Amino acid sequence: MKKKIIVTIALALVMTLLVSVALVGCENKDENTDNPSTVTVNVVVPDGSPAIAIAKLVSENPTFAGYDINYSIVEGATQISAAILNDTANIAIAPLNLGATMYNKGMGVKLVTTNVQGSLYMVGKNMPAGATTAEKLASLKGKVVYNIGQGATPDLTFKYILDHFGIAYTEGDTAAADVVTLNYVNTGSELIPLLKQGKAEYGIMGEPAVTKANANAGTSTVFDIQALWQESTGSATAGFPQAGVFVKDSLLASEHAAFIEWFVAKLKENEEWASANPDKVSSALTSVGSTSLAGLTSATITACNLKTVKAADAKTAVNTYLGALYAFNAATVGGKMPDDNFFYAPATDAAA
Amino acid sequence: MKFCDLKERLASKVGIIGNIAYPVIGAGVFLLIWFVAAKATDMEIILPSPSRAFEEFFVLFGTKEFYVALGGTLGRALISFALAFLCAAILAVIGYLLPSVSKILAPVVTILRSVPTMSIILLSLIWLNSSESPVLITFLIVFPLLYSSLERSLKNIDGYVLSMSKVFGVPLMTRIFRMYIPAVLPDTVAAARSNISLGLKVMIASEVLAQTVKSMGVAMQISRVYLDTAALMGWTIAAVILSYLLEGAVLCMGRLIVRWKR
Repeated sequence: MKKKIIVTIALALVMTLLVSVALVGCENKDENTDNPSTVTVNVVVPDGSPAIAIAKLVSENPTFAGYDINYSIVEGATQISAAILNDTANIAIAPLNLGATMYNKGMGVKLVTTNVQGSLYMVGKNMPAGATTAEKLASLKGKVVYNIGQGATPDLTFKYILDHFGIAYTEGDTAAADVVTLNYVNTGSELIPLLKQGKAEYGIMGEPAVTKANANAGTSTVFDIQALWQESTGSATAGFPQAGVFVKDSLLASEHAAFIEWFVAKLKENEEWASANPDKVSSALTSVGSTSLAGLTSATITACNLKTVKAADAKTAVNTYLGALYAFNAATVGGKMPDDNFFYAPATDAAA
Repeated sequence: MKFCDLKERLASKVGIIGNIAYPVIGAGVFLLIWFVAAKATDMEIILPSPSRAFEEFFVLFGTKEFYVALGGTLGRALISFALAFLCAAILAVIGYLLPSVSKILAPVVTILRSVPTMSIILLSLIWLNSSESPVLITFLIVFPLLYSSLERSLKNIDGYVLSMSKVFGVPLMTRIFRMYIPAVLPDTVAAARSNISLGLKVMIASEVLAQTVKSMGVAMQISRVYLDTAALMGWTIAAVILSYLLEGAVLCMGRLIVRWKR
């Protein structure tokens, strides 16, 4: 019996050691990537409109001396935080609130640019009745509105809008009188068959799924969420900084400033190029793992509201957007508003 | 000599304290590994310490969302388990009485048992809405396991006892309550016990994929979206305790049936 106890304890200690070694091992990977000869840059973007922001880079694969750049597309925003956490990515496009959360949780990222200024729309089988926005939204009472991703940007922004217009809502599967019922699926592509079968009447999703729904499911766009957001917040411009480029601190050191500047310039070039070359966008992004971006058109890409704004210039818009989300539910931005260090300011600015 | 004495004394004591001591050691070792790993990573988003996780767990009790999610998930898990158990029991009995039915069911159950969980999940997401599909998924996972176990224990009933009871003309009711139920009960309770916690696990997984409103699965998913790993762990602790309680409830019911039939 004594032997057994000793063996048990020994085994436990060995397991403890193994687990800690494995975990410590993971942590050290950070240093290995900082090889002085070539720096490996792994860019990870979620499938959908944010991916279009890197289309020109993927398609033409321009090089910058001393940097080895890889691009990959993952299914959703949640995989982005995982990639940043385990160091498989050092540049990522992520929803702004996820980026703020990563920053607040000490994951060592900064916002470099905002890229998608809102690509969310509500599509529907029928036009909501009413003349004003408030009346139209009120006509959704007693109906089910499908949305993508509970607790993510589309859900938060729509709830914020409903709150602003004083429209009660509940979450559930079946419609209830006098309230808007919100129900959820994971992605826009899951929602399209529901709309097509008539199981769903209204759904909120992002471009390019919107175009696909309207072409295949017999729906039409009934609300531009960006316009509703502007009406709700009274902001000067339509839309909101939905997603942006986040870079890990290791890649934001002054020696990498030239590379970051080059990368941002490439993102800016992408805006006009993407809407002029929809075929190239589709083929380039499909080749790196996108499953939702085949057959894009110029109109769809324009509706994605891609616009690269440097963090320093986007401060007001970002703070307004995050502030609204924070007031709604502090957990959505990581418990607190990010401070000024959240916004990347290149060291070269001081020298210039 | 002394060593032998000690060994004997230990052996006698182990019987008494073993039931308490070993589980405590097991839990202690688990918590120790967790604690050391958390210290080693030193990052709450990757692995929060046990104390943080339990803190979040107790925070849950103060929130309305917790009870709503718990009620939703527990209700769905119990409905699908009850349906699966009823179907399994009825079909196993019919199959026992009519061997042809059992033969017809055999391939169906084999297919159900070997279909990947994921494809059941993905298919049911197309067919049903977000609160129905987890019920179907859990049913389809749990039913074949319960059915096979019931069928097996019915087949294993001692043939001599059966023919003897027929020869002596024991009344049907007596045979059911004195012979069949006692014979299948131990295995059935064991199967029900392991399947009810499996059912809860499957339920939570499918809730995440179906985005079921008012569910523990989505509560966990949302904690993940907000990178609130400690809260995710808190929900996990709640799920573990719930499945422990469910298993306990099944055991108690098994014991009650034993007592009642006497």
